[in-house]
Amino acid sequence: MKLNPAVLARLNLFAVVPRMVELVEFDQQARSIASTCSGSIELSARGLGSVRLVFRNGSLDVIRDAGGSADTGLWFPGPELLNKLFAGEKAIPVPYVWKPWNLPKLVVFQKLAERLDAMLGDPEKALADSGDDPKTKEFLVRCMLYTALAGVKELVEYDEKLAWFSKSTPDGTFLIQVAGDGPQAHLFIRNGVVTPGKGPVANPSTTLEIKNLDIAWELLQGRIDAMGALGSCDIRMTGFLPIADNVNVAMDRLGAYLQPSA
Amino acid sequence: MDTYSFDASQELFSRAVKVIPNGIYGHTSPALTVPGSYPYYAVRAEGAHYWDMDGNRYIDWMCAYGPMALGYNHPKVEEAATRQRELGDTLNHPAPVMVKLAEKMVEISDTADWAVFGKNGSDMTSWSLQVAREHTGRDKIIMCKGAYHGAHAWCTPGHGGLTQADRINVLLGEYNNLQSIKTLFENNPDDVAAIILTPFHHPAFGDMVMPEESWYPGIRKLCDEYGALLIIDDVRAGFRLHMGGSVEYFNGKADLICYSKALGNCYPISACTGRQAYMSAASKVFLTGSFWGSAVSMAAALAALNVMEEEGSIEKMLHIGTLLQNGLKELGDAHGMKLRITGPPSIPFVSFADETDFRRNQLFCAEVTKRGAFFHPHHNWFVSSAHTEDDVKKTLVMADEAMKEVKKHFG
Repeated sequence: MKLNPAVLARLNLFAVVPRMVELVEFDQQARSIASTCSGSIELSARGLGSVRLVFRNGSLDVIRDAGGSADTGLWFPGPELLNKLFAGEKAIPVPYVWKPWNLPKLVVFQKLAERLDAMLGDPEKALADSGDDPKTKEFLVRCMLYTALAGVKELVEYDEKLAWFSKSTPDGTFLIQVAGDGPQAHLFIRNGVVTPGKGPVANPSTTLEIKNLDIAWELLQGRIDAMGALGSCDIRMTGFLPIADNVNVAMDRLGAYLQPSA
Repeated sequence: MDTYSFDASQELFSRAVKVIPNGIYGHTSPALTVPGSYPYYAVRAEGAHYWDMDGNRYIDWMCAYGPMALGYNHPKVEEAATRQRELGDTLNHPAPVMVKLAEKMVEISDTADWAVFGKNGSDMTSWSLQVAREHTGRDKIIMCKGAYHGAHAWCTPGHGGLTQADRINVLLGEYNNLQSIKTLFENNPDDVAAIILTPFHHPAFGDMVMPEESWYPGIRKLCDEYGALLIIDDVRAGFRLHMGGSVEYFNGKADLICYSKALGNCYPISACTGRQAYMSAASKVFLTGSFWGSAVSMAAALAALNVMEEEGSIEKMLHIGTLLQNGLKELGDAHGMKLRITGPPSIPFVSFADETDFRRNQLFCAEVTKRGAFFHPHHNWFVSSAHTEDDVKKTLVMADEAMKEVKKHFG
């Protein structure tokens, strides 16, 4: 399937990197890494924009196209190099280190990236390593949902195959929730512009509810057929369904980018 | 009142998803109703009723999404089909019944001088565009935003497997907005081969829109002025408003009309009729399919058209549809929940007023369906001439209980 490297780079920058926030919140190891750093690191690529990681007292914020200058950062002359880095291949971006004592921040980023890859790059292994810990499962499902909906935004804005989305998707809010206090994430759609959000949203136009965390996990691992789950009521869709139809097409496309072997 | 369960449907569906993409695809997909509250598979039908594989019986207000017009297994239609089946169905040559059916279609419509036959609505809507292009030597087609004209690439509401080229010659106007159509003609004065319209606007997940009085005269005038054809896609509405084509019901005059659904009373057949002026172009556009000559479907369609005329089926549908609409509105008012019913009584679209996300409608229709009358929450319903006043009464009893459930849930 023909994929656009610039879109993949956007997914890496704006859907995957921001998951470091959840990682640092959840994972002790990541938190320890983050606590060694104070200040900001920016990743940017030509024509794509930037994300800035801001470390403060052991916590992390990720800001898109923050403006101003970060303490340090990595600049990629094109999407291919950025994608190589995220694929774990050898890729040397251009570091911009304004002050030599900021160089260690890049090492922090590298360590966090490795930890993120260990958790989300192979979630099955991550869960197994945790001893099938339900909290780890919840974290992984939550991260995958956030990644998916953040990814939808990039795809519908930049992937040619989804150029129809903005014209043919009605305004509304789309909520995905895992029943029983499970993870929730949502999308605002206004005039074809998509804005992802974490957590619940009031009065969603469309709701996709997954019966429980285990079903959500199996779905996200591709072991349960979504339509089969719908038929057996493991998934319920209510509200204005055309929004869900369109978002689902975008989510399928996301799979092509982030799980190209699937 | 007991409510139905759907264990057998769900069990079979779980097998289906392993061997059939999406398990059930297209408009009958469970995803388009309320899974868990609806049957997925039907096993038999009779008159205005059908039974699912859990043994649940329904008063059928969807009529197989339109094809059932006279009642399932209508004796006269079945007799004609059986007689033809005994003679032969798909043969080396068309059966004589093909000519009889074409003659019948010409007889019943003021604007039909000829007829051709296919299997599904999309066969005919797509072919009719080719006829218009052949006649005019032009490429572009005007259709209205949100209109459904079938599942072919130029018009499918889906997104998979399409190329930009598929729709490059399709211009989008707005239903009932003559200025929007006029602008398209003005911007493409020598390029528009045809405008294709449904007789009234029946978009997915939306209210039906009836044509304004000025719509068809205005469209006719524009078509004549710019030398384009007016094609009416009567696939969904055909034979539920007017025997000569639903556009006649609205005092419109078409150049080509496409039919399917009700034409064969559940036998697979579609048709396109046209004026004499377009017969030459029609003869130049290749038209065939392995089973398009199926004589059984043609015999059934011929019998169905005769029954429709003899029994005054359209009047019956309109009468029953009006009873149902009025009854539902009264129930809604009694429960303090105003219903919005749009479209003609024989093809109504029902939803709750002041609701755009269909949540109350989903619960309402599901609760009625679970009690034994099939209501679709997102699609227009269909009324047949087999429905009786007793069916309406029984349905309204179910609807009353369903309204209570809606009230309980939504307040």
